[in-house]
Amino acid sequence: MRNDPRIAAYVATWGALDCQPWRVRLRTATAVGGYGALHVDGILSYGLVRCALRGAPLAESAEPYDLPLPLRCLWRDPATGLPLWAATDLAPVGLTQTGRQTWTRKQIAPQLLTTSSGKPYAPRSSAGPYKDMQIPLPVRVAEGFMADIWGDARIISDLLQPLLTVGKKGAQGLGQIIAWDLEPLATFHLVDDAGCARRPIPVAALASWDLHAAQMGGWTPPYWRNHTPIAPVGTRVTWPEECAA
Amino acid sequence: MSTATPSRSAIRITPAPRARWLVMGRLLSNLSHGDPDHVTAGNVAPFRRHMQIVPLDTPAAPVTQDDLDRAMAACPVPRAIADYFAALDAPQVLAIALTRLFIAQFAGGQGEGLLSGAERYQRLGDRLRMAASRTLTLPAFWSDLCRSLQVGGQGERTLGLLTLLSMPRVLGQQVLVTLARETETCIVLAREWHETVKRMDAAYAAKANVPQIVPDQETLGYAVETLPPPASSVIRDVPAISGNATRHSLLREPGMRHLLDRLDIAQNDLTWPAVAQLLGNGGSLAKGSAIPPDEIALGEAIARDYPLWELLGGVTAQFVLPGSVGRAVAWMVCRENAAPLAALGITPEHAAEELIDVMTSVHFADPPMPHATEVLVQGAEIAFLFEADPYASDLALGALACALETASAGLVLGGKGVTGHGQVALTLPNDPSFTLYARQYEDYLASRKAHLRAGLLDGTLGTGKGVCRPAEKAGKGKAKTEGLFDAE
Repeated sequence: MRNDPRIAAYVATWGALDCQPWRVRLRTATAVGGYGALHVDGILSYGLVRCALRGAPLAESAEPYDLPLPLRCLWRDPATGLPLWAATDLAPVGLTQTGRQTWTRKQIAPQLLTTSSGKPYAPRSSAGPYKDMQIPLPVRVAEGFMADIWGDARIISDLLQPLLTVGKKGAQGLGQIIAWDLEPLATFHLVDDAGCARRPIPVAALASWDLHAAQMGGWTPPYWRNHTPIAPVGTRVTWPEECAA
Repeated sequence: MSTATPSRSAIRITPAPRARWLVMGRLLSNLSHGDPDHVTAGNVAPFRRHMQIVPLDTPAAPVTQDDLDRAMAACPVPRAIADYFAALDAPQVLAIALTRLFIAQFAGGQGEGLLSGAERYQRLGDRLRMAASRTLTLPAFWSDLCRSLQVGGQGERTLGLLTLLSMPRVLGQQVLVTLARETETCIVLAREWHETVKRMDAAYAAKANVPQIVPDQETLGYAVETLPPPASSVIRDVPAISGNATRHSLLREPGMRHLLDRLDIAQNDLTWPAVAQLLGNGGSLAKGSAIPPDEIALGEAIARDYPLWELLGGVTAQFVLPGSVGRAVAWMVCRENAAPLAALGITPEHAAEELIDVMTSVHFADPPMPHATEVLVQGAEIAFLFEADPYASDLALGALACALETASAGLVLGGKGVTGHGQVALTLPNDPSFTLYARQYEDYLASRKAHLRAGLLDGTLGTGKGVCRPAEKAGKGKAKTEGLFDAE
């Protein structure tokens, strides 16, 4: 994994972690945009980068960064060292519905540009790199989103507080956060009562899984790395007891 | 896995933006704001609507067994097709019955009326879904559907229709949910129901040369306990101003005009399309562009030099600038938005649909072409909320303030601006820091005017590299640079 000294320096300020099970409830004022589920560990990774780099961007890298999170690590991929964090996906609760919002990008006013002969010029709006665009984006409204985590609430609060939105197109007002509520939980369960995964889990970490349901996908930040066989959410799996601690 | 006993307190985490400014807007003329997601859904171009949770403001009376029995008795199902309804619940059957009544009223006796043909049923489906998604009661739904299909109130006042329209509100809302989510199924079964009822008539069967169906109907029975419990809120499509339009009209476009004005750049001085695009709509990558190895450093330098792009982000011809630090959201001042508006100290008076009107324009051709558009009426209010990331710089906040000041001098929001639509009067925040940041930004632009001006005109954005120039390509034995407008 790739290291960034600014992140390492920030994480060093945490001291010893006090990890406890918590139930996380997220309420948003507007619909949440995006193509997949909301991952608590993905959101915390983003919060870590924002806090450690004070808003500066992290250089793009095909190799994942080492992003320690204030969560219990349940398993590490022996090949890459990537961690499986103790956090389930944020699932919609209460009244909920999926839909679509389309955003548009339109051509600039023609009087902005001139040709070399001084005439007003507008690039073509129907083709080419400057064309008008209408981009549909899946959105979900919900009374709330809920996940369970096993982590240090004090540090998690620090990482979540700078975030104003979740999901895609936050700058356009989607996924505007009202509040995160953390409630104490007696136990953390990676697998629900029916034996189904509550987050994507790499099959390499599992004692058994439903072979027909396994697919390639992301399982840890960055979630765009989707070339690992995983058991997706809702798949019947057996989590090895020896990985519990 | 963990067996710790929770003896801890709950924790609430609320976002902490660097700045949060509320700008109130009042429409001086009707606002047209089209909905790309419903562009083919009606004869009237619909106003943009967003799906959201709407609290029900008055407690609904629970449905009694008598209410349910009366509604079911109003729509007896032909025994010949009763099997199709066996697995359905009461709201589904009532939704299909209501759809059937609409088809029966307006399809014409031979099926050759208003609703003949596949395309017509496609349109019925679009409008049925739209009406069910944006109304809260069955009478409002029926009116909306009749209006969108331009059939007015021509239909018969049948006992079945009157009974269904007067069913308890809670039951009506469950019917609307079914109509919005299962529109196509409702239409398929309603058409079958309608056709079966027609074939129960001996005269029709003889005339259409089809076998007559035995005229036998049954009333389906459901226990009231099988209904879902009354909801305190529902999901509806509510008229809305998109955050994208808000960002463009209140920040990017006025921010651009302010920047060009302060740098003494006339509108037609710009010659690099990528610069104009970056200023005007955020830009896009050029064909064949390669991301430079020092992309992060270049992006940070550009955002530092031009705080407007720290605020809004964008794309040069070669790479994407670091993410934007500004967030924009617009709340129509209406009862459906009472919760978020209460947090801003605003109490709405009107329901959203009360603020929507239909305006018909005529394109003078031969023959004249009338077209109707839904508009948000003059006098309606919009609360624009702008938030800045905790790590936003003072100058980015200044760019935000200056953009809003520029917009307040004459904002046109939405479409049809050339015909006078969408004029908005803005009330800027009465916050000393707003003015302070604006002056800091003005001073900054004045102090670095020559550098910033040159960066926009030469396509380097002050980096010394052609980040807004098209990629160089080889041709005819020597390297040549693509012309300014080779995208054409």
